[in-house]
Amino acid sequence: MEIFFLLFEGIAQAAQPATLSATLFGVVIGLFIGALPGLGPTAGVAIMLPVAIGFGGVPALACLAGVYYGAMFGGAVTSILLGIPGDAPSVMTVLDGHPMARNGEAGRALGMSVFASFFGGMIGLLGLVVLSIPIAKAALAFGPTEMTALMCLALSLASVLGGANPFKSFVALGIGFWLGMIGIDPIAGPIRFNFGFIELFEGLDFAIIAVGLFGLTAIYTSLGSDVKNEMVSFKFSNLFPRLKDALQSRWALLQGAVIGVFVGVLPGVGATTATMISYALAKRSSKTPERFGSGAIEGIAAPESANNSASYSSMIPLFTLGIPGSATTAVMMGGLLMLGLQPGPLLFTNNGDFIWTVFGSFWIGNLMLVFLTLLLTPLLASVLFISTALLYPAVLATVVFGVFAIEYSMSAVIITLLAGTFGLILLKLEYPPVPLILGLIIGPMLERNIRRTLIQSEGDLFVFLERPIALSLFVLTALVILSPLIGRFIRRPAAPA
Amino acid sequence: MTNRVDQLFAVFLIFFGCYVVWAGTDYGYMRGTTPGPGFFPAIVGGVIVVLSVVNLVRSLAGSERLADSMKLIDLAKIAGISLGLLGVVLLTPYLGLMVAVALLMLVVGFTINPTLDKKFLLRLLPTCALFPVFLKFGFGHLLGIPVPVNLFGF
Repeated sequence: MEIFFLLFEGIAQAAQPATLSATLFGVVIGLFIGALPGLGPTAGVAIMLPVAIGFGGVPALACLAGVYYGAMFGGAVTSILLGIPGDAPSVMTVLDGHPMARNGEAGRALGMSVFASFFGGMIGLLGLVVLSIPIAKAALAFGPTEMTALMCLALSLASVLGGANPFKSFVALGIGFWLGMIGIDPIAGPIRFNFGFIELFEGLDFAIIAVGLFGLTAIYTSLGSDVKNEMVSFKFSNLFPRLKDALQSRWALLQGAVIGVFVGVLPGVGATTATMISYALAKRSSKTPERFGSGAIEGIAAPESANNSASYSSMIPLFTLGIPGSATTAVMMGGLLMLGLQPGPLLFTNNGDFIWTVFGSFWIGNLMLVFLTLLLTPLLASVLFISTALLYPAVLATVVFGVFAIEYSMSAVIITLLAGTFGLILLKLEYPPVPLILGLIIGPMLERNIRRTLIQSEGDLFVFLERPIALSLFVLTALVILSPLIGRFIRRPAAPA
Repeated sequence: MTNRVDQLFAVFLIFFGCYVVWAGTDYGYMRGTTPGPGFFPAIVGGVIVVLSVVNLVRSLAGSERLADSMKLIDLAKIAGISLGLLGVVLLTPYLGLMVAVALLMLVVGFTINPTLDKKFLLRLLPTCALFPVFLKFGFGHLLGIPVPVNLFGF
């Protein structure tokens, strides 16, 4: 019961004008970013990071989270009206949403998408609130050795979060580590890898790299596609969800939400997988599976409920263990660090008020999105008709002002440009950028922990294997790293005798 | 073409990894029995070298085929935007951030859509004129960021 009391207190705090307006700002921006193909939630959160940090404290995080789940809502609008998914988690919504729209039921499809997103979001938030405290309490028993093991586990996710080639994922991770080493060594003092530039004495700012790597790269890669499509018309009065549809889709909604909670928690799996599983399950458990793909209302309810539920539950490992399980939560973790907050179990002990107000802002944001999505649907759909030649100049102008605001220096713009160009090269050569960001964020923390532990143990490496939790985490890390090899070995057909 | 670039990039990373290892040993791998500032760079550099060799061998052996390279027109657009961003850095001390960003917006707009079509100009020009003013107000006044200004104070 205590957690619900804390949550209500958090909601009351989040209703303060500063947090409320930051949440509103974030969800509106998120809705539009979600509607735009090419700029997904990660690019959106990265681009908005420097702006949001200016809000400080809870409003900053409320704004970033608003962009994240706002993009989840917004992606569905263009999926249904235009048949173009704004981001990857909206792909499954196209399957039934667009056929419904073409059959003259666009309003009904949009209404269900909004209701399912809200329902899934609420269940995901419930999972976030209920599961966070026990996980954080368990993690409080972790000493520096266990934390080192936990960080190794987080970094091993490079093999999961990366692309098809795990070797390239780990090279990207290594480059991220190296970027994290630039600047003054926090233990011994010498300046490393600054190449004589004074600007690099204090190291590279995470947000500047994230804006370049995700934001600028997303703009570069989408330059070739200026979308020209026909929008299906709809009536505003039809946008409101119908009770009959909600009752018909009740199991699809619930299944999607529960799948979203559990799949979202798993690092590296993400909302897209949750939508696929929930869609498949809704189709399998339907008495009329043949309707799926040609306009089944449950085909919208299940994936939309799952993707919003997963977007909240993916924050559980971030807040409780300090492990970002996806690219978007990695960028959000950078935001927390920039605010001077270390994500992990101690966040709940040392900054309880902060965390519950942030959770409270999530509830308010989810509620806001229902009304905003309904109100802004015509505008969201029309965003797709704005030429990139008008849209991207505005986005780039925001990027320039935003990165300048981080360090009050134009060198930040140069670093963003370099990060964006490097990100494009990595993407084209299929080096995934997410492990690089993981390396940049977690690398310096890992290095400090390893060196401090080894200094205390006078160089004895076995200190890492003496505590059972640390040992278990290292075994788990080895399994995660070796899983692609094990999988390949298992799948290999037996040689003929 | 992309596969050749991939191989060259792997070679670059091998040299880069060697440099990181060398720099690591230079910073001091160990200090007595405890790890020094070069401990981590040496390990990370070594890992980059080994994995890049694996990637190079995989690419040469044809185990990995990458998608086609980008179109020349898209590369030209990227170059245009990058030059525009570089221009902002160079011009801001003289023109102020607001004016430099307005010019960047013009460059980006014409790079993506190189036309003098009246309809397009009627949309682009006001956007380029008004949006930087909005940003200057948001960042400079609402967030209190000291936005660089020109001799005339804007």
